[in-house]
Amino acid sequence: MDKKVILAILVVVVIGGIAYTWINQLETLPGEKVERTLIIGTTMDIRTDNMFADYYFGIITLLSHDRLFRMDENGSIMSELVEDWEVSEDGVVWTLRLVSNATWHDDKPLTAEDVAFSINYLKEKVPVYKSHLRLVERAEAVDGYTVKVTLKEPWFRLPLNLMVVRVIPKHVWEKVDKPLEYHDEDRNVGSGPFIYEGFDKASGTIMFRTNPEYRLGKPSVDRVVFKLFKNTEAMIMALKKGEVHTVYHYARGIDPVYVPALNESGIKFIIKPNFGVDNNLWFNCKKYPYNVTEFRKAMSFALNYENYVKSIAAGYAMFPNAGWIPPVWAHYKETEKLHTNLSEAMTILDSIGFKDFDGDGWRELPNGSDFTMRILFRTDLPESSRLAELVKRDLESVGIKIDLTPADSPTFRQIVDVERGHEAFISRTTTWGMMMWAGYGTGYIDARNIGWSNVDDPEFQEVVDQMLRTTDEGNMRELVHRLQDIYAEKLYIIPLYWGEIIQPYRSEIEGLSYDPMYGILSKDTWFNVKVGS
Amino acid sequence: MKEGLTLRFVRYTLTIFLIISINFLIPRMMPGDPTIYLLGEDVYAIAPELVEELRRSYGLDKPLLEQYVIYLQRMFCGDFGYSFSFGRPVLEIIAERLPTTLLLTLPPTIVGSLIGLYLGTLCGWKAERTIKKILSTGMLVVYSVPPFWLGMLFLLFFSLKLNLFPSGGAPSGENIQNFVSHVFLPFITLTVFVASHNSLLMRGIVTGTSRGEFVLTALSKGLPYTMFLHRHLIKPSLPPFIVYAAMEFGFAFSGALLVEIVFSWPGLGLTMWEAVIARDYPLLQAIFVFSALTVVLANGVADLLCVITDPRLRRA
Repeated sequence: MDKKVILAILVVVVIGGIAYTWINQLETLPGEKVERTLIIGTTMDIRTDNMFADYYFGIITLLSHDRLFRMDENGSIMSELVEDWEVSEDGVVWTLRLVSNATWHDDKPLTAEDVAFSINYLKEKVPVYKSHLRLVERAEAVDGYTVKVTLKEPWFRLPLNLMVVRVIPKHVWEKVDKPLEYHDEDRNVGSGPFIYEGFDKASGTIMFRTNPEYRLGKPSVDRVVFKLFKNTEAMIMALKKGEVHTVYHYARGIDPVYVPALNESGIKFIIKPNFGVDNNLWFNCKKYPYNVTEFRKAMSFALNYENYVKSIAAGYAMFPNAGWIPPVWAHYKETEKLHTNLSEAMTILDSIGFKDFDGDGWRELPNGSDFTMRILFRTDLPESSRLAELVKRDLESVGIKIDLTPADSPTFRQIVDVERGHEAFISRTTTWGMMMWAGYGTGYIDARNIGWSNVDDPEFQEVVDQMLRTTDEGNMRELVHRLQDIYAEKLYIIPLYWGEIIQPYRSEIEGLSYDPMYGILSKDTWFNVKVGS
Repeated sequence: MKEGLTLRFVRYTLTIFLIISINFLIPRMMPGDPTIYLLGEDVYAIAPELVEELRRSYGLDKPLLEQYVIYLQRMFCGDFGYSFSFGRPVLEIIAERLPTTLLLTLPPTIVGSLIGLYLGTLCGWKAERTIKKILSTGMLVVYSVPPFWLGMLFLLFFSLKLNLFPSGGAPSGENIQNFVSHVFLPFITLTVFVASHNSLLMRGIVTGTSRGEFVLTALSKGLPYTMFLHRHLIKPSLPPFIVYAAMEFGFAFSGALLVEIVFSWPGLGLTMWEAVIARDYPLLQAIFVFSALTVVLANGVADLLCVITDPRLRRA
């Protein structure tokens, strides 16, 4: 009987194998042999194809929706639908002149009415834009291709915020009262180089086809398909075996640990400096002892930056400066390089009264009570837990007891953004984040904005206020230099390394462009990329 | 018998009510705010008034007790609410993902249970034989391996090395090749896993059963092996196995989270995980309630099946 069972199993396996091979020879996977289809793998959590309800779907609608402004490869702001613009002397009224040859995917012309409608509608109906456009009073069409945007107060960074605004057709959306709940067929009609085709939720694919009528000409690929993965390892396998041509994640490249294995498989890479800072040690500067500059300095001397560059960034990084802002930004100023000096760290800690009074191996507060530094790290950032362990080891080597607390994204937001109850944490900054508020990361630092560092230092805030007001490039340069000096001197935040973005792609494709904000979903990619058959 | 059934019904009703109430509380006890998902990370911190506005629009600003009453009222009317993170009614999402889930979990549960039942019986009878010891050890090894890791191994070998299967996603369309290629690896992963622990369970039961005197009597009658196996070894061993298998059928409806992640399979397990990450209370509640109901229902069916298969329980 046993033998019969084993035999039966073997027969089933052999017949199944033969049948599968036979079927395999008969047909090929859809999309596999389609020429000029660019297939992009992503682990972004896309749930629905409503750009206002789904943050990550909103990102990939860059293919189907043109914006007013965009960013080029060097991080400079370029016009997209705006041909040129002027600002009134008081900085309150902006006049935008639009290109006259833009059309919607349903062949209707894109006019100033659509742009004015988009700004007013998004500001009123879509939560995220209420913040992006909070200083906009109203937008109105002056004529067919001129829009006047009136602000509540002078705001010279308006083009930057308009860079995230997707221009939407008035004739579709004017009848929609709840945009986050709108799922009709025309919800993704745009004016961009690709037309949205659909989201196959079962197979996890989102499809776009070329827009032959696009005002700048036909893109160089016929279709773009996003293949969704729920785990990075499977996506990397898919890249190696050619199931996808490249991979994408907003504001992130791949983890450097995958590079050697991908290299062996002949995968190529675009390596770009990151405009954001990959990982930082943040302090809540309103809490003791993190509000003590000397304490933060001692922490900076205890950290082993070389180890982070080697072990976490696998060498795809630079040692950071105390001035925090990476050298890729305009107006970068060379400040002191951060370095490890354990004896200096211990001397500073001793001098400010952090000593091991009870001989248990850990430093206590100056009043003799126990001290444990609670460091939060994000479980949604893959390298965060490894890095947190290294930071813990480094700080413990100078006698600071560390408690590492993992937090998923909502928990992290609750603690850091809502309660501001954090002591210290490890997290990154994005390109967009670095540009917020007065730019140069000020939004993250200033307690009046996102304020992860919770800083209300008058010296810092004065510089920020001047940066917000100035229109003079020379003055801005001076202010940004001063800002970096303040960052270096006060160390509100310690950059752990300045990383590079690693963008892998298969050798069958060439011509990918990379912009600092949206990576390979750059406008230049669609007209240069070539896909081999 | 009738009294027993009534008692069970009351017990199950109470259980369901408790589950529904706990399902309301658990998501709300988690730290984090559902509006974060809608506002995005860069906006949430700087626009507290938007957070409040969103909370109001989803009724999250109301006192907990009021929210609970509304939740109960809606649930008894079959209204599970609206998912914040998917921007769609919850029932629509469950209805969309349930068939994909069952496609992933039900066939392996059925096939794996049958293989486990049969293999466990074979290994449990005269368990001292070398071949059976090897088989049991093999099953123990498979059972000890986490299914997601087994899935990763299968992906690595069959997808990357042999290039026989795609690296993820559920089948779509009516193409048979597409269907087979997407279903095969998750099916094998889950089947092997379900078969391994069912066989170990059945092996233990049969080892005990085979010591019974009725087994000796059956053998001494000179019954053919197959008849002996089915009538005198499998049948009396069935009740504990049925209870366990029924639980597995119940859990099949809630998906197989880790395997769904490995194979990027959009099932209910993955949906539940996504709902946790987004703190999507209505979706989370609905999936919890749905999963719990199927498990309770499966338990009830198991009770009935045990009564049918075991005359002693009928008499009790």
